Amino acid sequence: MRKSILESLTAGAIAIALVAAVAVPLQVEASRRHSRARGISTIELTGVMGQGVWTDEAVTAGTSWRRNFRRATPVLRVGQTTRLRLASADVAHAFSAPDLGIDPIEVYPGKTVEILVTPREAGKFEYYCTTVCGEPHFGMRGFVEVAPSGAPDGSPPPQRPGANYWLTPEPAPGADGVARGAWLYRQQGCVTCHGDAGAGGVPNPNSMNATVPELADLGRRTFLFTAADADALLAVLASGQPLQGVSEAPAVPLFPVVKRQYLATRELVRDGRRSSRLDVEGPRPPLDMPAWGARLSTDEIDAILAYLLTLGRGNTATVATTPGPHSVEGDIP
Amino acid sequence: MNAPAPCATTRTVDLLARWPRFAWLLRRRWFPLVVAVPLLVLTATFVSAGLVGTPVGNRNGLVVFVWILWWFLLIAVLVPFAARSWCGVCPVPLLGDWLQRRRVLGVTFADPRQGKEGPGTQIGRNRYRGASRRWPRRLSNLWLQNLGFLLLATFSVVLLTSPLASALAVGGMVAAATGVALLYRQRTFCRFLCPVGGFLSLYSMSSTLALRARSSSVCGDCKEKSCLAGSEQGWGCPWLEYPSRMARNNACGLCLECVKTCPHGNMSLFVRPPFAERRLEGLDEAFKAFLMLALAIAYSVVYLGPWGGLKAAANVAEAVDWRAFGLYAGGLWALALGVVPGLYLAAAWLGRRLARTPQVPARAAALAGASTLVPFGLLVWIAFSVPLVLANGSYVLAAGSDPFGWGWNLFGTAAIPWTPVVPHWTPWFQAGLLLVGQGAGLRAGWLENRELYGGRRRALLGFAPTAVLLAATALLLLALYTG
Repeated sequence: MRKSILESLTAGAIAIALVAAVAVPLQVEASRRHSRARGISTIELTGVMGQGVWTDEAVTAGTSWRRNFRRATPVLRVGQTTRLRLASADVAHAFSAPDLGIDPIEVYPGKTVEILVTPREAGKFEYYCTTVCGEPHFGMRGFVEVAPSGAPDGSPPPQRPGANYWLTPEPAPGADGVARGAWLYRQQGCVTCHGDAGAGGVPNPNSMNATVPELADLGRRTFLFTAADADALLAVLASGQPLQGVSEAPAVPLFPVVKRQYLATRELVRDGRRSSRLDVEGPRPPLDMPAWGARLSTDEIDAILAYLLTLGRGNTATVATTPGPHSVEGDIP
Repeated sequence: MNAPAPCATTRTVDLLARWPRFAWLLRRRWFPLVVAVPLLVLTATFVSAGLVGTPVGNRNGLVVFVWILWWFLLIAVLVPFAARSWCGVCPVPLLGDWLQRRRVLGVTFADPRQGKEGPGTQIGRNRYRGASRRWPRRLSNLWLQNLGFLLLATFSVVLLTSPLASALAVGGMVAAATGVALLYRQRTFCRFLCPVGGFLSLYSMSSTLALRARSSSVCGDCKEKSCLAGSEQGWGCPWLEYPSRMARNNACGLCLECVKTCPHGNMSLFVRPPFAERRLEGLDEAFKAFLMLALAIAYSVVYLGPWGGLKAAANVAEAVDWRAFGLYAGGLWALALGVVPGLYLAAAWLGRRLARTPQVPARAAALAGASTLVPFGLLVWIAFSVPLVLANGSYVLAAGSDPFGWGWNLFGTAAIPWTPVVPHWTPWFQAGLLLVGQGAGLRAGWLENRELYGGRRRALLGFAPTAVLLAATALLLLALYTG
């Protein structure tokens, strides 16, 4: 009888321990996730590099195989503090919403970072990843909506160019350099910061232009003032002779200057460049020009530049933004 | 030849005689359950982490604890020094055990002399629930385990990087063990199906620990045969072995039931010199040795080599490049089932020709040649596993504090950064292990061949091709490890 009781007690204890082993962690996490301590609500954003999104859906080991995580559009309320809980499902990311005053926050896989945000102005504020995290990196952007009442205004957030850019189909074999450059410009993600047809416009606070530079006027900046000038340089490039070795090109006016400028641009694309601060005392601009030399060959960079040189020289207005008057508290341990 | 039973040698230590308190502990019904149950609870937690925790492999408790900590402890500590003690505390078959036995601690004793009526099936002096069928004789070998391990190994990069895949694998093992326990008797799953059990069986031959009978005459005079048939004190050997006649470690899961049931206290644990057992008894065991060596080589290339493309091809879950994965898997299977076995079998065949001994069966020559790979393969696996734990051991501290990757910090170690330990020493460790493995492998092969061929000269000729091949394999691995 005593043995039977001991047997039952042991079996019961094991069953309870097994249930607890699963249930307790889930319950602890659920209560933590949904806690509204001190009236602060929590929004969890997880970077998913494979899809190029920050999502507000739960990304767990069991769901990470999904390919359709929703791009998050967190809704905050003016004057109300919200906890943003940032996580990564794969690689290192950095979350930045410069117009909300959120400087790039590094988010490492398997670690969470929490910040408190108290917006003081309504509007839609762009966020993006500022660490080149992988092929779809440049798609990791979206908008935080700050509503005066706490309810979203219902209008869709602005659309940025280059959705799913890394899936852009390759041009047919035999396509010329310009067509290939147009494809690379999109497929590599240049379009996401520099815009369709090089229109620029993505905010980059405290950089010299406050936005990512437009590229539609690259021809003019290369001293190619007419389409014929640009075509003449493209012909030199298409000849296959390395530009460095070309000393004369009668069809290209101001060739030495054009050549120097072109090679400097190519070098900039290859080696990247840190954005200069407009206000040297201000925060560092969140977006820098990545170094593409490790990813693109010289021929591919030339193809992209060829495409850009064929764009019209009409100026596209840049959207000037300034850092928003919002308060952000740092990482909560 | 296999080492004689430990009781007959002078170079063994009878642990239970030396430490009576240890003997007392091992004879309790609650041992080793007291270790296995917490491991089962931990497994349940980690499988949960594999389903709902972070998808980041090196931050998920399941991946980190199973593939870094457990694997290293298993292959580098438990197998060499404690034989199949992992099988004794393994949580995978516990649910099946309990369903079969309807007991957690106790024993269902039913004296067959008093009739066999009652629920369940009478086996010896114990009763079991479930169908309790006998496992087919033609499958009573390592072939299915070889196949299962190769299948798992094919997806190893996925298992090592995806918590979900690891959870499905561990959960699938528990489900399979439980299902098999309901259909077949006792530890049929562990003995003939568990993919891990296959290589534990092979490499436990090299272990310094062995469970044996102290005196064969006591066993010969024993009428009860409780180690086989069970008693009120314990279950008949769940591993379907006859413990008193065991001469090899292969099929002993160290569940310690025979230590509990033996009415004469004749079963004991012995410490012995390493690499004491050599003889392989079938081609299934020889192929297990070939397979394990091939996988150790392949893993060393994929995981430790500088070829990122190979790793990407193996990680089909991330790259989703089925063509590249097909090539990788095809290459792996060809290496494991064709190249390595082919080379070693050819070496044994060549040796037999050189020795001019047609009377020696080709199968025996092949088994003698493969015996070199028992100690060598174990040391190669340890050499492969050392850098993994030295380089990635710090993940264990971080994931232990936050097994789900949810931002917890249970023990204050969650923020410990990735810290490789003595990376500059790693190649030296590996080189040392390879040298030990090669020495032990040569010794094992030489002794087996000498016994097989009879004369010293014939044995030398018979073993020479295998010895050269073994040296070439060691050099290949040495070059890979040391760059």
